[in-house]
Amino acid sequence: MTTDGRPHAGDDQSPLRQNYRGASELVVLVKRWGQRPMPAAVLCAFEELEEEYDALLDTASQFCVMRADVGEVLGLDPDVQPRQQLRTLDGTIEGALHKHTVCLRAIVGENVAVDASWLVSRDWRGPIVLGWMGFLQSIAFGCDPGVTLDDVGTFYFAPLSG
Amino acid sequence: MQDSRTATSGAFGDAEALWRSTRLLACLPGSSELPHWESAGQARATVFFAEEGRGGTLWGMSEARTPEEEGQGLPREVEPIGRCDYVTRVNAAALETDQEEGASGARGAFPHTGAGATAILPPQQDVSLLRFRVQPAPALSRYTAMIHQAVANHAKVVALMHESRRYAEAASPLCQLSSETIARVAQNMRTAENVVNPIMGEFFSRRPEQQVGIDPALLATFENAVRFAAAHHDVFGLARMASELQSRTSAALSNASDRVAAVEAGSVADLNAEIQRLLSAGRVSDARAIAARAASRMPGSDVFAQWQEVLAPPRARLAGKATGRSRRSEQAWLREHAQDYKGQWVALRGDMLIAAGRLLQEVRERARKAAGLTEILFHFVPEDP
Repeated sequence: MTTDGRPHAGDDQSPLRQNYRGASELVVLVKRWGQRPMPAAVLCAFEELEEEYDALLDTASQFCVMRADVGEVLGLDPDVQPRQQLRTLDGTIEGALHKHTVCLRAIVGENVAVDASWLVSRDWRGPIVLGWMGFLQSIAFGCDPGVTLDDVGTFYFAPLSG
Repeated sequence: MQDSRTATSGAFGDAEALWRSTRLLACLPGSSELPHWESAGQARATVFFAEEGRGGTLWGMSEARTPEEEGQGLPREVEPIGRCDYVTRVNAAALETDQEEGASGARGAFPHTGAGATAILPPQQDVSLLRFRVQPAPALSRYTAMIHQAVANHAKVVALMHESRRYAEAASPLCQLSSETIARVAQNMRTAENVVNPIMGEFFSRRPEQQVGIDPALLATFENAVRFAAAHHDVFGLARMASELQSRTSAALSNASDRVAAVEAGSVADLNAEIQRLLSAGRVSDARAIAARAASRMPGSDVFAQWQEVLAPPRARLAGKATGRSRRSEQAWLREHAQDYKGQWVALRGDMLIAAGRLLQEVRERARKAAGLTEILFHFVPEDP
């Protein structure tokens, strides 16, 4: 991992460089959920909680998704309005939509916080998901997956708003 | 046959006097170039205005002048040069022939007879209109801002048209144009207003959320075509594309209008369902717009304020110096042991399992009592599908 967030583009390729502000670890979870191809996971945290959580990066998901028990820890009711359905690999799930801030804790550089849109669902049986519309669209990010699957790579990020 | 560029700048140099007067009627501020003159052979014409819709009168200038006019350096007055059913690039040779036979014969100069046509505006206005109709396919979230900008432009266009008419009336003695000519041009402008305003009005009366239903791919295609036409000063091409785009836009707006009208007539439940349907279809911007309007229509309804909040685009910000740490030890433990905890949360610190269980609240509480929550990683191990 480099400390300036420019791991790949050379000095002669300035248009390709992205000024990432933070970097943390990226974990590929392919072997951890049956044989289902899984995207990469990063560490996230919630401002009101001390601990950290693994969260999947999912560019195909409209919203961030969390299980109801995570929502209840954060005070996000899974049974209120507005409600929305979401199609997933496990079928259609339903839940309540909330705004809640989630933080990417950097190991190098600076942390980035996003006021993300969450679907809090009692139907969801998977891990925390960081989706596109509710989260990823607000940051610039880059992934270095590491050498092999189940290896630890690097996740670079920066807020789009600077 | 003369070179068209040479002819435009040469033989029509004197015509600029007239054009300058009519430019006041026709141009938006900031346009420094003379309009493009369709020119070939002995016939030249520029369209000031074709009245409307399916066919109309083309107003322009013909090259033929009386000796008196040549001596005075004045072109012939603006006059109708023919009727058209569809405006495209003028076949100047045919126009010349037709003019010899009289204005009525000029119809043959326009090959696409019988097709529908809409208003052809003075060139600069037309370009202005096209600018907002053919915006590049934007992300839907940017489309609303673009429409608002177009509304502002529209207000400017209308104000300029009124101002131009006053100029035209005041300019008569200065330009030595006959009062009849000025009256005719002014009438053209009034007619233009009558044509422009309904079109613009229809477009802008649609709320932004109704307008995002326009096929972005179509807009992108038209944008490319318009750029090409503009680069070649193809006013007629621009006009033709404006016509086509207007037609397609109207159809798209009509469909969107039906949908929104149905929503407006509905209840809170209908609006909720519509927002949910749009979200399921991936149309977040549309859903966001519906929620915003519903919230404004029903200020007492919390649910639409909540929709607005949860659909607001996420915002990211820097949140202080790095406070994370490597979790390689935890990941190593998970690689070895996660399969033993399917369907459970595990709380890890380094390569030590602190607690495990099916409900996060219980696992957190056990972890807190055992080791505190600082530096704990919580990982949920899904069950196999």
